Amino acid sequence: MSDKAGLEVDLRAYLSARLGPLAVLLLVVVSVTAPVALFVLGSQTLEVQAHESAGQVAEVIRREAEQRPRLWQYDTPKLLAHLRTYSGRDHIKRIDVVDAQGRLIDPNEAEAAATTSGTALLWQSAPVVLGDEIVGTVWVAVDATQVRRDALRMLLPFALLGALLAGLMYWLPLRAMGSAETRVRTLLDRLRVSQTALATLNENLEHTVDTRSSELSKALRELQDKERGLRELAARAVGMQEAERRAIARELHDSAGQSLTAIRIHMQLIGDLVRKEGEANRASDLTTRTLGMVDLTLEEIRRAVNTLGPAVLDDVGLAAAVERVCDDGAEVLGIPVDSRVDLGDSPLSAALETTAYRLVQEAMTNISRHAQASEVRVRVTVEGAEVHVAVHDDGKGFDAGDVAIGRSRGLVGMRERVELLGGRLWLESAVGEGTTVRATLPIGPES
Amino acid sequence: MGRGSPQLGSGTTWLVVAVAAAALVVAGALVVVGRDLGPQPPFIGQPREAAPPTPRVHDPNAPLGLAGSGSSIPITRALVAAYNSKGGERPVLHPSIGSGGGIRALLDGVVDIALVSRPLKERERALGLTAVPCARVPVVVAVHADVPDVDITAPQLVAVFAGHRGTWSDGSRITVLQRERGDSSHRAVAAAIVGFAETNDDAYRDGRWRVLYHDDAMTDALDSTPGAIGLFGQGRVPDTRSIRALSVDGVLPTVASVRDHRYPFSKDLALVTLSQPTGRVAAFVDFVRSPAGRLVIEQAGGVPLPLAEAP
Repeated sequence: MSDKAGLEVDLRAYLSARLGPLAVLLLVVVSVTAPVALFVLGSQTLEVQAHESAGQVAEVIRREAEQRPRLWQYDTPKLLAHLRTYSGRDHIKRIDVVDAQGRLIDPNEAEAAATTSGTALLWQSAPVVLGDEIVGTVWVAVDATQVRRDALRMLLPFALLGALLAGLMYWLPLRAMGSAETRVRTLLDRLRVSQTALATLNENLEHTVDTRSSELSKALRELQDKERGLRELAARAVGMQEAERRAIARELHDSAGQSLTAIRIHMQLIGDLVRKEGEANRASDLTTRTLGMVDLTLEEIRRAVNTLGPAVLDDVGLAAAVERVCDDGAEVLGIPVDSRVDLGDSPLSAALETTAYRLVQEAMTNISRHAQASEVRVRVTVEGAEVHVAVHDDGKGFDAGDVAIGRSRGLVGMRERVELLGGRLWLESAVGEGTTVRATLPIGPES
Repeated sequence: MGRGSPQLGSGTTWLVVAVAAAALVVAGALVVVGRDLGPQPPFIGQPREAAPPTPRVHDPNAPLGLAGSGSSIPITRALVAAYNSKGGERPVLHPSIGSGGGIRALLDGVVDIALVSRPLKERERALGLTAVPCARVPVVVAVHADVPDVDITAPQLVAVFAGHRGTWSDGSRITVLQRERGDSSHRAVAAAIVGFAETNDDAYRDGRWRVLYHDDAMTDALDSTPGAIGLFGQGRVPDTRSIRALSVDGVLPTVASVRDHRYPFSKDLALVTLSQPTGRVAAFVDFVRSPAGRLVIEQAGGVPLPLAEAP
């Protein structure tokens, strides 16, 4: 509202503040300039008249002087008296002639001429030239009193004219400005209404955006919390699954395996006993087949145990288990396997240990099956809050963009294990340049 | 639009306007005053000479010089010619410069004798000037030769100069020629006719007639202007010009009519010297006073004045 009030005052006040001084200046200019110009023109006219008169008198005197080269100046006063008689009607106040030395020709006029300085006289002169010599000078004075009086008399009319012009110059623009100001005010009112509506709209929009942003942020945080919870839950599930597997494996190993081992020993003893009696061969064969079945069962149990959970981890720990896998691989492949495991002092969760172990185990399996490598390098290290696993071979390698390879069960299984724990897995390979499997596993709070 | 500080802008504008208005007023005043500061003649503000001019004597080695009233020129020219015929000093007669001009030339030592056709003024007498009357000449009412009238009365003369009578007897227009104010011929007529002086002054004031300030100019104007009338102060009208003298109230201007005072208008001519004439000046004055000189004067149309008669 203050802007509105300011605009209403500003337009007229601004123009008034500028026009007022200009109007006064116009008044002064018209009041002063015109009478002064009138005076100047009038006095110039008088001066021209005086100058022409001086020239005419000088010419008359010159002619007289030609007739009276020696005595012309004694005859001039009579001529001047005659000329003065006529000149009074033409504003000419005085006509005087001085000789070459500047002395008045007519001494009787000395007093009158010398005392004319107090009046408003404008003097003009013309030389009296006789031959090449200036023998005297004619001075003609015109009275500017009337011109000055006329100029003074014009002050008031021109002041009135100036006031009229100044008033028009002041009033007309202000009147036009008043009309324009009304239109501007109307437009401003409309603009103000539009601005208010726009401001309200903006305010609502901002509020809505803030609300939506807040809701989205909240939803995002909830989603992230849920994702983190799910990841932790998944990690815990993997851990529990692994623990359960290991428990089952231990159970199978400790109970069924022990029992079957005892059965096998017993069956071997039975066979030995039967071979010592008749029908011994049949019993022996049966025993032999039973033993075969027991061995087969034992092998299956061992395989099941290994599948459920590497019991070796519980037995010797991750470092030794990795070393054992590497040794087994070196023995099977007949190539050197360089392994280095540095786990630091921090204990790792069962899920992390199992995943790291399985990665190495699966990689070694793939190398033995496909790589045709001559050297293998295995690294399992803990750096900061992450476990880094890398298995490199110098085998034949493959095209990393090969989709079929990327979708192989072994690789998919490795990637799923890693991602379940929030880690990442890279497969780096090129034909003829070997293969590197690299994985990074975060050490979560479960560790 | 410059918003925010209209008051400040207004104050500055007012200041500028006030300065401009003041400058304008001052410039106007300077222009008005400056007009009064134009060229000034050298005599403005000079004190008047306290003492009257000191008469100077004409160079004795220069020829005897005579100058003054144009009325005296014809008679003086005849006197100089007669004087020259005697041998010896050969005076020089200058053209007319008026009685006053002759006296100033005498006082300045430019001439030896001033020719005067009016009485000396008091201040001229105070300078020790000496006037020697020599002749009385008529003031002729002269007309152009084509004017049909031969006589004029005093009232008619006043009526003509007043502009009340504008034609001659044949209906032709009268052209009045005036001498300058203070001319001795006009003064002589004014002394003889009541009302002529006022009429003459009115004519000067109204610029009614053409004014001539030399006898020669008057002679030329009368000679060349049909229907002209004017006062001729040189005595006898020259026969060589188209000028004729009117009789006044039936009396023609002759030596006889002037001598016996029948003709009403006349003036006395005098020779003025710085002091009592001596030397060559006295010789010329004596010649003028001599019978020979008086004869020359009479032959030239003047009445020789006796020594006792004042100018």
